[in-house]
Amino acid sequence: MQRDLVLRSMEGDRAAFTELGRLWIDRLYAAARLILVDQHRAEDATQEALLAAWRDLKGLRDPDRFEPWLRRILVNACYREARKDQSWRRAQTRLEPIAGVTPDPADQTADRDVVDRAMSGLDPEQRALVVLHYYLRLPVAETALMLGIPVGTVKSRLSRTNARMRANLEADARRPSAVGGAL
Amino acid sequence: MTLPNDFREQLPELLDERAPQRAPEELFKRFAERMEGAPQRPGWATSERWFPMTERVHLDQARRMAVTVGAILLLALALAASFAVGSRLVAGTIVVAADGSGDVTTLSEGVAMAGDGDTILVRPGTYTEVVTITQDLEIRGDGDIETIVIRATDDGPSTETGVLAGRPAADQRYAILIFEADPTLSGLTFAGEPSAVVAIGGAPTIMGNHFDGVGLGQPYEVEAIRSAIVVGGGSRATIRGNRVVDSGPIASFDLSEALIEGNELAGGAHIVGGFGDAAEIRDNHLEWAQWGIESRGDAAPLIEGNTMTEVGFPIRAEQGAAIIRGNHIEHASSNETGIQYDDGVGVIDRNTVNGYARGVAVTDFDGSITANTIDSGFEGVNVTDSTGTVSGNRITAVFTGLTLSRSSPQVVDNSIEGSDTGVSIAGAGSAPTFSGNELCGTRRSVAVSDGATEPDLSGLGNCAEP
Repeated sequence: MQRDLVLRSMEGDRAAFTELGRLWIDRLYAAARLILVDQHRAEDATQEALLAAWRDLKGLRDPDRFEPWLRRILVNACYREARKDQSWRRAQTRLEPIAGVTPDPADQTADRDVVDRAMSGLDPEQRALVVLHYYLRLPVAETALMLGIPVGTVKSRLSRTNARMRANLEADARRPSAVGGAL
Repeated sequence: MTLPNDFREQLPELLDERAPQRAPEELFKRFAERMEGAPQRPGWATSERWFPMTERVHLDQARRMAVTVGAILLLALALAASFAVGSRLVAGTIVVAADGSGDVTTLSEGVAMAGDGDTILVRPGTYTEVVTITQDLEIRGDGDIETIVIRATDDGPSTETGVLAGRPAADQRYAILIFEADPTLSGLTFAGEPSAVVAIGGAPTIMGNHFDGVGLGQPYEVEAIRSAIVVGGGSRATIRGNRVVDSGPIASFDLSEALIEGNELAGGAHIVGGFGDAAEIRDNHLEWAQWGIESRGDAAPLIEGNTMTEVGFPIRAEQGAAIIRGNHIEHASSNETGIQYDDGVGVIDRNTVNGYARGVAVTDFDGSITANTIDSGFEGVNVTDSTGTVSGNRITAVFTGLTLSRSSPQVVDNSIEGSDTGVSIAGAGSAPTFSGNELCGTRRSVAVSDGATEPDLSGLGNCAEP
């Protein structure tokens, strides 16, 4: 079904692409939200990515590569969105609750805290790396292709990012005032 | 709350929990609304066109009307429009002349007036400008190419998005920036030290231009590269028949699929491709340069049919799956390597390499070296820490025809002539297999050293004596 929609969209079928947008918007938004944290920025990046994809569809040579192609556009849209405002770093540490996530179970809340605290202070590139590799489960090679950096660089950046997240959690655990007590 | 014992392993599930399951309802509604009014890229099978320049609104409207009432009315409107803009002889053609004899005196003005499908004729003069092109137009020199000069300045703006998508390239200054568009540039001479033409996305055609002393600066710092032409952002540029002298490279990066064909490069200019690229680099001629053609990062370019004379490092590739085929590389006497490939799975096929210390050298290579003709001073082919295939090559070397260090390739049907040592096998773990090879006139057929195990040499025969 998706391939048919992609092909029709490549022919200029506006309705087909709108339907593709319906299929993809939740996944794109989720990834954008994890990268950008801020809801409004994530919405803007998602929308801009979809519109950019529509404009550039004729640049997609292989319709079967639509998914990674679209994700790459999203990542770039997130970078652009992040660069728009130098206060991004402040925004991404606010740890605001994400709408649409069931907040009830205590352990889920704890999990969200863990993720937020771990990713606190990561720059957009690092967050994108985490989202692509761990959330979208892309292999290192595909992640590298998506980010436009060599495989070796992805590995070293992942290593540094993991160390940073781990350090964030450990620092938080040592802080007596940490929400929820010591980790 | 407890710290996950292995945070990294649990991270995927933690992120699943953290990510919103649905986008806000309003977001899709807004997207759908914008889609209704969203412009389409030109070239699609609809009559709707996108004219991003506000100055073109009146012409856009006229065209839309013309489409609805028929081709005759379109012609009438076009003629009317041509009268309305004074000296524009034909609707869609704008003449830029520095001496005031055209419609406008600067290229910037011409581009601002133009829309998709329009032609800008540039008459002799020096145009020191910074121009951004977002339309599918044509810019063509109208006169002696050497007298039509587009000059970039060092104090111009730099592109915000950067050629390497997602990363700023603050030093990326330029004369012309093509952004997600398909224009054609021809018959122009570019000058000035910043990059001459930067293209991000789109499928521009850059053909028949001269680049003289442009793109100088820090040519080997990718993040701040200055080039004669640099394309990125998935560009599908065609770069054909240009002459690039004493300039920075023609560069393709960032998942681009450029066709770089039939260009002449001399005096330092070279061609470089970058990560994720699938460029086709064919039938170019390079001479008197330090570097020839480079493929950096995980790219898969086709490097075919190029000729190089007196180039220091003619072809170098690292990672990826480049195809290096049918190139002719000649040097009077170089201490360097003709074709070098590190850490990849490429193909080195039917090339001719003469006059280099090493003809072909590969490291961490799992590809094929086939049917090349190599005449070199020191080594013909050097294979280190590699597997793959070495077959059908004709190798002449003063010292060693084929060196295999810690490598286990299949060595098949090669002819090795006139060497001091035919095949040198070195290092523990080397386990090459030989079949159908001929050694002619070598003082020593095989040398085994540094812990290598002597292999079955039945596949290394001597050729018939002349």
